[in-house]
Amino acid sequence: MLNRRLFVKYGLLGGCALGLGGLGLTLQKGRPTDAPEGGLKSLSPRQWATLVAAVAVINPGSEKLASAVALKTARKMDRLIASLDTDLQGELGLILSLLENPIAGAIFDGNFRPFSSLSAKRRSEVIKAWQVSSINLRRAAIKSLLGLVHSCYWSQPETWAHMGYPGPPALGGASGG
Amino acid sequence: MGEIIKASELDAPLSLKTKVCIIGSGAGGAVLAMRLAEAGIDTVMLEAGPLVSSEDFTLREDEAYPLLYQDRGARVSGDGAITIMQGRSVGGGTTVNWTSCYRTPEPVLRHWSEVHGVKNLTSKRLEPHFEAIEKLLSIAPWPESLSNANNRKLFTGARKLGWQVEPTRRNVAGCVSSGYCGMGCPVDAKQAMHLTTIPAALKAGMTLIAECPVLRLEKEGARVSAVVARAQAVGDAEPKGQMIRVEAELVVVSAGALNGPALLLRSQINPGGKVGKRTFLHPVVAMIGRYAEPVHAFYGPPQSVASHQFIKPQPGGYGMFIESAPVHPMLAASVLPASGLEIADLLADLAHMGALIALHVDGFEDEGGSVSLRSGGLPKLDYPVSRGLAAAMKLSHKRLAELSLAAGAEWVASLHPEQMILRNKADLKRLDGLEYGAFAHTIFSAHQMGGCAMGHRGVVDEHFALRGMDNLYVVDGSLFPTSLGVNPSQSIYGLAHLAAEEIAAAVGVKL
Repeated sequence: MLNRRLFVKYGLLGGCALGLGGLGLTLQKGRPTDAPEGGLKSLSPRQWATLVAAVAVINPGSEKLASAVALKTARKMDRLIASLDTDLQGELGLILSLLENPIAGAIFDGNFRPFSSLSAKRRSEVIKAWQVSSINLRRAAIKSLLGLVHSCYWSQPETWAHMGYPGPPALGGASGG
Repeated sequence: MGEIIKASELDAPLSLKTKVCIIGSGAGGAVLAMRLAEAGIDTVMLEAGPLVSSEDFTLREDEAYPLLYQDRGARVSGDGAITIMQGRSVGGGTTVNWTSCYRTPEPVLRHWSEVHGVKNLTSKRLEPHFEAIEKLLSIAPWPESLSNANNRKLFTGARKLGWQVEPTRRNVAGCVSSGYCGMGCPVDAKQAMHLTTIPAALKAGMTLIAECPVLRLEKEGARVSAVVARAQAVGDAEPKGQMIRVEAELVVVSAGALNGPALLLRSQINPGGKVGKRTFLHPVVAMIGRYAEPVHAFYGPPQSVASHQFIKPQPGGYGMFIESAPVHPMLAASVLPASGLEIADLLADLAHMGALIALHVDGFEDEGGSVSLRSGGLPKLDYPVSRGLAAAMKLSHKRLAELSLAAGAEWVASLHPEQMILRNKADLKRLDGLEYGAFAHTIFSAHQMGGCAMGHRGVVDEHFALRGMDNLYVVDGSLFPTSLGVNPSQSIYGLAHLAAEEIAAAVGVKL
């Protein structure tokens, strides 16, 4: 369902894109992506595919740095989102649907395929473009998504060595006692 | 000894009667509760978040923020442009704040008197209350020699530029400089409410119910007849446990600057249509600086130095003050608007990275933001980033950059999506080419104030009583008619300490 708040806030253009995108999604499927171990807690399979495709390019890792895919960042996000208030869950789901949206992508970005079916290079370009988009809805959406992805990825101990972060001291609940 | 009840463990609805019911356990509610309970007044305190202690503080960001912050650490303004850091556990913001304590500045109190008609909050009247709080919470200036490298950079840069700078006063006793104040002090050194005033109130007989968000206030005419809450276990998206009902002679909302107004709005209590209006954030912009030597800004007291050089209104209409911020992995990564290899490259320098923040003083020339309700009843904060505020933020970025470079930074970076690295003073003008305002760069807030303003035109009168109601009071940062230009915790402690006398008097007890 179209989120009325976002529609009112971002006006007709963003709202139409969302509405059209809803139609578009019924016509064109994204890349199917296996559900995580234990099943999905908050996202739909379609939203999950979008999220996995996004985290893969947001934190791709390197030779010495495990990727977000390897660290199961998307699974962690699905679980975190499930613990949020229903309103917030709905908004995050909507952000993923908006990102996946092939009709809006065709209108604004020249992409005729859903986000999850784009190449990694193209997905990175889409994320960059949204960050500086003239449509505030897109800037807000990508800001929320990036914030969550980074929070879930860079808080994982496997990433700490890359940053030269030794981790917390053995005090309080971190003392293991 | 009073009882501690974990609402989520109740196996039947709970109904209580008491003299005073306090909603919220942060800087306002807890100080008030201690004074009332110690005066023998029957008091029940309800807190939405969990009762946690140093044993629960794992110092991992991915565990601390969901456990200890509003909206599991994901609270943002209504349009998503401003990240809002706000505590949610027993102790409220005091469990997770960075310990900086200031008395309410004299010019702010004078402004409240002259413009908002708050005539009886004078420095003289507040003095004994601030003194009592300073003693109780061990508030004292933090020695420069014990500041971490990130804070020392603020000292160094400001002194080189001839700017005012001073150590902050911190509410700590036995601080080991771990650097994890924002994730709950692991050694119980921070004199937060869950370690000080709340145990004192419990010792004096108060009942504390945790994991107990209040849904609404029930009214009979101009009286609140009952406080209706529902248990919410840690990790549950919404309250779905047993119902809790408290009937009290007097009810105090101390739920903070966003949740308090939202509770009143949910209860259809909105005198003059002003509840939730004039909400202030000290909107923050940050700048990171890269130093040749490691600064390890993830360790050591996160905030122990401040500069109020630019506290008077600057071009754009806003004054600002400068402080340091800790640089933990998740906090840094979530505010850097980069992705892909770019962010990995930036974060590879984390140990060499310092961070300075500029906090803008809102509410003097502007109306701030306003709180309304989301469809599910949670607060929704609309906060317009005006042209004036955007201009002030640009100027602040220049000053933060100038300060960091003076302190020896090799480069500084603004938090814009189009990454802007500045290496010398001549580079500062490049900031002129960048967009400023909502969605243009990272903006956040750790200080939420206002929404139930005190004053002759405000929601609350000078006795802390909500206008139009006979037994409903407000005691927290939502009372402020403007922001403060300093970290707000001590102003809230002091006001609550004073408010206790008014509220005790309202139930027939002289303190």
